[in-house]
Amino acid sequence: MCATCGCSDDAGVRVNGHGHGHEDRLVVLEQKVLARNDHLAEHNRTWLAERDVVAVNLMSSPGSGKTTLLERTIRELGGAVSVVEGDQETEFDADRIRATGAPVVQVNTGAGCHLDADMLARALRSLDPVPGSVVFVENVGNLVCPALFDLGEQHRVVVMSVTEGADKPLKYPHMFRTADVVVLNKTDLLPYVEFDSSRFVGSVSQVNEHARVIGVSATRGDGIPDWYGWLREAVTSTGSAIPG
Amino acid sequence: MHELSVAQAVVDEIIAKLGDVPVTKVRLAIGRRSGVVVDSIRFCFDLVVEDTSLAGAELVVDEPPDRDLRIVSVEVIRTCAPPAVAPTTPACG
Repeated sequence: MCATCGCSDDAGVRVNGHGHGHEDRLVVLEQKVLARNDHLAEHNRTWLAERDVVAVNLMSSPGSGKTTLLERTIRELGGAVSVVEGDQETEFDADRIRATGAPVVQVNTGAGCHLDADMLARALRSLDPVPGSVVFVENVGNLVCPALFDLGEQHRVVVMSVTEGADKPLKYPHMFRTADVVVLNKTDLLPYVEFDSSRFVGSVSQVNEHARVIGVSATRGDGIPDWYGWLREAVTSTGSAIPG
Repeated sequence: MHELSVAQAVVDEIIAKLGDVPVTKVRLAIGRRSGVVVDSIRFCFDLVVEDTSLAGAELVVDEPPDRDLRIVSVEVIRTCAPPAVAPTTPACG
């Protein structure tokens, strides 16, 4: 401890070139850049757990069919389900969800390319989901940025459609690396597009050996029971939110 | 471009720790598998430091081969009273 000014080597602070010229010094922080987001995400996780609510974060490129998948899921499964919609602008998706009868909060991020833990915290308090329910969080359509931001959700789902190409898991590994499950949507279009399904599954397992791949057509219903099966397993901790 | 959020988080974390002490240099570790593009961070950093105590600060980036994303250290212009380093965990509530 410097008796003159009180500076010290304590508390992670290292003094650099300390001749009492007092011009500059090095402060060692060793701080995670996203520490604040991660901290708020932990608060969300606790908040959700206290209410026995499961949050599922849906991430994808724009237009892969997240909202269509949610509309079908809500209409067919019913139960206590609510939605947080993330988009840069408009209430279009919230309007679609509202039409199913499920409570919804729209978050408009403006220039922002992803939801963060603080946005979800505010949306959850506004949504006020009932105990034992499921909250779907439809992230901003973007296959890059949402990967980095923990929201405090219990499950992360990546939705991809067959029109996007089988090479995407290798081209956007960060997103696929964080997923619990990958939903391959628009399989009804497989006869009309060049999409190598086995290459896709191989690409997913190359970046994330634990992620399960579920092929569905959210418009026609193919494979949807498998999606519901995964969902039931994922929310078992909440009881009967998703009817069996 | 999530690099804007990341650059803003860097500035927020440093100001939360050190207050408004003028900062002359920031050293970050941005792993090559972190999902963050260094060039974009440099671009965004210059934007977000404007009108803050980090304005004009030099940005130094280490690129380890992992997923590290960390503020390693900062250099500050000191006055006699050193800035108090706040606890690592942000305040709750």
